[in-house]
Amino acid sequence: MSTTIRYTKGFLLDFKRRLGFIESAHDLLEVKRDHLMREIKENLEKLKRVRKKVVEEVMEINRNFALLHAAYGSSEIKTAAAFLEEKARVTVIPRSILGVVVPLVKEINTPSLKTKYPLYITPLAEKISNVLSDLVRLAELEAEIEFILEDLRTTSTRVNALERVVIPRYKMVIKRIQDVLDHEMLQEFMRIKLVKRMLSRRGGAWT
Amino acid sequence: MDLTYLICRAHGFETKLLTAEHIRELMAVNSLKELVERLSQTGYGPKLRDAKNIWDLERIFAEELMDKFHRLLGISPEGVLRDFLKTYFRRYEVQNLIWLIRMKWRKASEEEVKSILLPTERIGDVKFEPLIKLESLEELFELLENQGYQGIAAFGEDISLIECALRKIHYQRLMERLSRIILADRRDIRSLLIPEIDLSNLKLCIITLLHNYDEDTVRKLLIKNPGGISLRELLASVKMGDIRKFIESFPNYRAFLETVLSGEEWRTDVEQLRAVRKALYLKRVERYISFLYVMKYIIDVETEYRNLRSIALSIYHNLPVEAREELVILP
Repeated sequence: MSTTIRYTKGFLLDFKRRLGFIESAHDLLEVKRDHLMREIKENLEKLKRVRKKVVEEVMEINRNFALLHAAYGSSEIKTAAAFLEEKARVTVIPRSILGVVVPLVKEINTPSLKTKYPLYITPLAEKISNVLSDLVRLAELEAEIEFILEDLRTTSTRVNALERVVIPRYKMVIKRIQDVLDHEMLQEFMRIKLVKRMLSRRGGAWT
Repeated sequence: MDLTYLICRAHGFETKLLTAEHIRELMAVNSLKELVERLSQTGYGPKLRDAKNIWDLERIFAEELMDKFHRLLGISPEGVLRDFLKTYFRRYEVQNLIWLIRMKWRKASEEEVKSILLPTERIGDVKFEPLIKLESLEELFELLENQGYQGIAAFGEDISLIECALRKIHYQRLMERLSRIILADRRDIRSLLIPEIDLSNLKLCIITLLHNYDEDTVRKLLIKNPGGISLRELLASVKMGDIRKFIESFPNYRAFLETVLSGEEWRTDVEQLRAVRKALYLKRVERYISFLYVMKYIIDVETEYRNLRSIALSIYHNLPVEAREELVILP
């Protein structure tokens, strides 16, 4: 907001126009904030569901792994990793939600289990491979929520700033200009009236 | 030194092994620290002083196992019996070779490889230090050719097949040494080895069916097992090309095969060892001087090693006592 205020009608109109623009921006930001809030709520519900499933699966995998480790010893388990020929690959592309850029997992390529794993480890490897895609989805959701939350924080700050600082200040300035202009108008009116009276008095003398 | 002396010493050594009561107590402890404290009062005490973590414990248990085998080799009579024992112990050397090949395959560092190998050099023939230093698998196979492990390189880059080939070499050598032992002892020991070789062959057949190996490859890797499942029977079942039909062909091993396919092979391993020990305990050995007493001691030592490793790792993973009970083989 410009710091130099000129108490003119033009300035008042300009300020009123600006206030109108700011108020519509505020309304838009409020709508965005509400949408973001709804998006976060939905994502949190989804996150809860996915996380519960993943936690259950990971706990089962952990237990199975512990049993295998205890049965075969560390050397056997450590060396079994040698059979892993491929690496898991994830393709991520950006996606926009109400202007917020969030990561979208487009493709998850888990290593093929057709390679010659020891038989005792294959079912566990399959379970881990299945849970891997859920883990990636979970990470995607968490990242999405994090990015949206960050944008929500900025949006809320902006809405609050507009609501509590900018708009009241504009309104105050407009009111001050209006008051000054009204006062000037009154003064002008009084002055004209006075001049009129003086003129009518002189005019009486002249006539 | 003769067989009588060896048997007497084996009986003596046996009294130093942990009792079932002791194993049950260890199974119930809550922390590795408590486990070390309890084990410190046994023969493991002096070695456990330096144990700092679970990996140290595993190493110490393995060292103790090798010490016991080495001691036994030292007092065994020269000739066929010592040869047989040495060959039997080479199963750990084969296990080491399998791990070494896997680690070389994934290009692990020398330190990493050293940390996982069992200290088998005192009981085996292969010196692992130069093997660890080798850069490629080809060089490793070439060196192994000269140390009695011929024909491994023929299986190219398929680790599963290489492992089967190593096991075949071991069992063939073992059966050959067994054939030199006197008939009475031979029969008893063969009864211990038959199920072991059968299971190894059956596992190979399942791998074959899962990975579609050709008949010729399987034929090369199957181990002749007189008294067990014949090779002809195994090959005919593999030819059917269907896992369900294969399982149905061997009703005696149905439970084992189904457990292997479900990924719970360790359960069958434990059950198998339990059954072997039970059979050994129930067996009425007709003679006071029988090599079977020595084999019984060896199996007891192997069981103790396995039990302690399982207990330590179960405590490390905080597994419940019920799960520990499934893993442990009590006398």
